[in-house]
Amino acid sequence: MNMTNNGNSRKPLLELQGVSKVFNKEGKDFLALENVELSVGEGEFVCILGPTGCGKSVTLQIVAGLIEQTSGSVILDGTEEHGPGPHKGMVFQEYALLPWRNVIENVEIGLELKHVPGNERHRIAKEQLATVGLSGVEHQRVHEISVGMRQRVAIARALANSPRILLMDEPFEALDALTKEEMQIQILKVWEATRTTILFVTHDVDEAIFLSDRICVMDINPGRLKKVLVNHLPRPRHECMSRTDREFNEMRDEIIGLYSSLKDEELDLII
Amino acid sequence: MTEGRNNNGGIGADAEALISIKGVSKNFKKNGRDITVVNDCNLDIGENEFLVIVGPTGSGKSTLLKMIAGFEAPTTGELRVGGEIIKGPGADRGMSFQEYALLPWRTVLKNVELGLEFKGGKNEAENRELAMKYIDMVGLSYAVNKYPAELSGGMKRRASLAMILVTKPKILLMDGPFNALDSKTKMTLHTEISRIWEHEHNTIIFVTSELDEAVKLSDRIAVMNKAGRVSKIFKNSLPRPRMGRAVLETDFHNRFIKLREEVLNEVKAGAGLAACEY
Repeated sequence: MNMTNNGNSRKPLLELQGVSKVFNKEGKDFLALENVELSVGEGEFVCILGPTGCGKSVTLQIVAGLIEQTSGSVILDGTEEHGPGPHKGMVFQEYALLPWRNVIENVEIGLELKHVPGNERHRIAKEQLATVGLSGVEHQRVHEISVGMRQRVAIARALANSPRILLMDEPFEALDALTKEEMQIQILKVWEATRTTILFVTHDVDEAIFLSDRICVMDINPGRLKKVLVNHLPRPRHECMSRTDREFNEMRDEIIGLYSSLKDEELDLII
Repeated sequence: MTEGRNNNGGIGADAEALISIKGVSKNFKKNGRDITVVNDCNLDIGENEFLVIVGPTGSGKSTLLKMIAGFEAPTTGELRVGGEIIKGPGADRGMSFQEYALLPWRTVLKNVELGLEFKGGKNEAENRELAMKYIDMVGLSYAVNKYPAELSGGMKRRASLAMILVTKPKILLMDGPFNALDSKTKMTLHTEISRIWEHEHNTIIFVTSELDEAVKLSDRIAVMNKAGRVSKIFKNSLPRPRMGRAVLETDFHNRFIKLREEVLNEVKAGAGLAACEY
């Protein structure tokens, strides 16, 4: 395995080069993220995994352009990135839909701001709602649909802008266990249908194993990338995979092994 | 009409009803059974009035607000704004929700401008100026270029509020907008919403379960009960502004407590609760 591409065998779409972040809290500098080197391939599904305080969300927000790194660079499609843009679709734990708009109007937001004509807008939005398994609720209000459905709308909204990469920050955390599993299957279907590159932050080991091509295992004090694991579990996973399979368990053991220095209560946060 | 107003605690001196709610009921199906959430509600709300609706959980106050917003249709009865029957949401009514509705990839300024962009306001300089005015009004000028992820809960509320105000809705519908904020932030926002209301001359309908908030903000307080009815309307003639030194005066304080107690008794009666349970 080559150290600079962390096991990415595809053409790199996104590259993080020596990315560090120092926050200043009450006059004291605090190293939140130390020297992250990562390459994400075109069409890849990469999960960033780690306990609270490992800098996984900070990493994602730097890629999104919502916060600026202290040093290092973020390169997307060969160009250095500054600030957010519709080419980087975001789906967060708070789905941030506009409650005074109905479902399809929420999906159309990005297109509307780009002045895409109404018919075209509608067609794309409808198509993306179908991609996330949400047909027939286009005209319902946000408060009338379930929380799982709202998160699907947020995904469709991001997809409607034809993003180069989808950035997801613990998007299923607030959902109940059953809906969470449903959404994990749904996002795999979306990924298989669109082949959009996905960078997905989670603290849930099983979620990372179920979804990813590779897992970036992060550590704390300071937040840093500890190891990148290639996930060889066969796909498609949503039809045949059980989380009690031998291979699944081996992968889980390997990850937990990487955290052998964590205290029990810190480990509890990721399993 | 005149009779109704008397029962309603009266709307402003010679104000015509801007919003009129007549015999409105709302039923929902739950496990195959019809449940009446709002029950034969009658209410007139005057122009530039600040009406607060209080009541226990499940008294239908949020549902009533959603019907005024046009998000829900009544099962029976009718709701009118400016004489016109409400058939759906409209630009004349801005609704502020308990959850924040900020787009994470836009700064505070860009989020507030959003409302204007949707409206088709294409003059960027004008949009910016207007957005800045309302951001300033909610006291968030120092954070215009921050993203939602960097904001505290109170700051998100302010940003959401500015986002609605910038479209200049005639009527502001607020559903527990300050719930879950710490008391200091809440107090500041009370002062600010009162100031905005006096400055913008809009009509505000504000739903809450907190009685201090109700007494502090309202012209009138409508109490809803477990049966989904408006059981009583209190006129609140405490002088404004209701902040700073004025609040500490004995007369003001006594009247404040007295009104709060009357409202509390009504809420208790409607919820079938003892005083300490509310």
